[in-house]
Amino acid sequence: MNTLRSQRSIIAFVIPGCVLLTLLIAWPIVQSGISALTISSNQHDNTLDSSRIFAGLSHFKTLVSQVAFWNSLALAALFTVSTTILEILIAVSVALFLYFQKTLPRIVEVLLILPMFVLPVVSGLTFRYIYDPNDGPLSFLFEALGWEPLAPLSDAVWAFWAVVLQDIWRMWPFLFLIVYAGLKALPKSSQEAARMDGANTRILITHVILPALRPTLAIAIGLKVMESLKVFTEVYVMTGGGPGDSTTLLSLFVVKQAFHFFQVGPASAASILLLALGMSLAWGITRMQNRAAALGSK
Amino acid sequence: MTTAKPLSLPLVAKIFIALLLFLQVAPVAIILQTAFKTPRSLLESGAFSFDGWTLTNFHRLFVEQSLAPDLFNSLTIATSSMLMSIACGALMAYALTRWQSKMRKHLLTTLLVSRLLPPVALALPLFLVLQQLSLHDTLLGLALAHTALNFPLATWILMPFMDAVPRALEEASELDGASRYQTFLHIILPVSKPGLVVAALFCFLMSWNDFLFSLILAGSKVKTAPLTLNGYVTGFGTEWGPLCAGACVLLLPVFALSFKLHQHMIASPTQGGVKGD
Repeated sequence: MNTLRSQRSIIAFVIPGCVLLTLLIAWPIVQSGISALTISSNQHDNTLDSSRIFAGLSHFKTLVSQVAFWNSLALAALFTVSTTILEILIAVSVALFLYFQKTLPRIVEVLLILPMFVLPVVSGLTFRYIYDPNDGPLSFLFEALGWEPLAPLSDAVWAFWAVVLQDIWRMWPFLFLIVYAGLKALPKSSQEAARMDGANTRILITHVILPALRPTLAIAIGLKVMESLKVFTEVYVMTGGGPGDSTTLLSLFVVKQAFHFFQVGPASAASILLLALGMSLAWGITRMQNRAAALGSK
Repeated sequence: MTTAKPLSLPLVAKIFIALLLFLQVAPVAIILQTAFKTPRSLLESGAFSFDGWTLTNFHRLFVEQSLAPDLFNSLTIATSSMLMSIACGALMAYALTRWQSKMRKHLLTTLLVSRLLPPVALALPLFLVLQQLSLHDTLLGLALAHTALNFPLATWILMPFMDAVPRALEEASELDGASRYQTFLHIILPVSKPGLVVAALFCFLMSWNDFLFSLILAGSKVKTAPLTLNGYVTGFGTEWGPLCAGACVLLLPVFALSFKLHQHMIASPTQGGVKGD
């Protein structure tokens, strides 16, 4: 069947996709590489058509000399670590709960994961409304309780944790679905054996279920870390990166550099770093997935 | 658990779930409720007073704020990029399941990586490239950008469906004198329809949900609804009523399509086609 002719005719099928990938993914990456390594001969012309002079790593040097860059990197790291830990904890607890409590109506599960479907922009705006010091539900609640009014989004420390809370609200269901699927796929036999030996629920969870769940958890965490790197819209909509730079994660830093300060060179350098980070994470996850698949097939 | 005695979960766990359920639902409930509230009751005591349902906010949204054109932009972009994504995705998926070449593996990796890249890192370079192509701030430019980002997922979704189409079916069609393209069009595509529906829904939703690319690759001449909605937030006080109404309008297709998606996800790659084997 697979004659040379029919194998060759396949090439036509990959052309549209390859054109798109080349034109709108590969070429832009190359271009941003170019603008990260060159400076425009005309300072006021940032388009790529202007003649460019090779600038070595000067944009990268500008980038790493900025406190704001390191700040955004640190915030992104803190955001990733805190949301990942908290979300995985919630996801695992809820998954275990639903796993043991089989009588719960299906609607509970649907309502629990509901926020996952909310558009990032709507999620961000909703939380902005909830936290709004003048008209927000939270401020009315505090007023009704006779507490001090609060404006979390105008406080440098609170704003960050308000953003974290928003992410937890929307993203733990995503981890939950992965963990729950993994949990349901576990073989029942070892759990039953442990039961026969008199293990109680806690021992069952800590000694039988969680160790078996480790590959699933690794994948869930990997994907979540990847997702945290992508977070932009919710934070942009909630705080715009402020107050000051207190919620300017790496992704917001790139956009601010490029479109507020028109620092295309350093912004391109930051884009390249972000890409490299994303690619290495992606590579790590695919490796992990392959290993998990290999473990599963044994 | 059939063997041991039934488990009873501690009360703490039940309270935890109940609390979580409340926290998960409350923000959505708040948007819904605010959207249908009168402006006066919003001003007087915010979330907690209620003096009847009203459609004022929706009226203002469409008549005074004129969200409709931007909503139409969003719809056009989402629909066209969905069509382009499944077209590219279906062709690519078919090729990747039938091709025996070293290129195959490279393409697979490229598709996976481009799917996992942070879009923010692509936003600035895409902005520069779309400017070069004079597609910046156009419907087509934005739809193409969405397609480039979304069709790899369509490919990944479609591959198992295409792979499951029995080769015997194709051979029969080619023996009958059909070309590869005719076989693809008349045999492969109809058989993988459930996959096409799932891929289409995913692509539509991803484009509909996008904010970042609309912000950076368009935004002055061509505005999408998420961008406009965010524009309602001003430093001088925000009118949350129309904003929440807008949020409801944006959420509506998402919930409707997610429901549809869930129904289709249950469908398995192939049923029937070749008997015996």
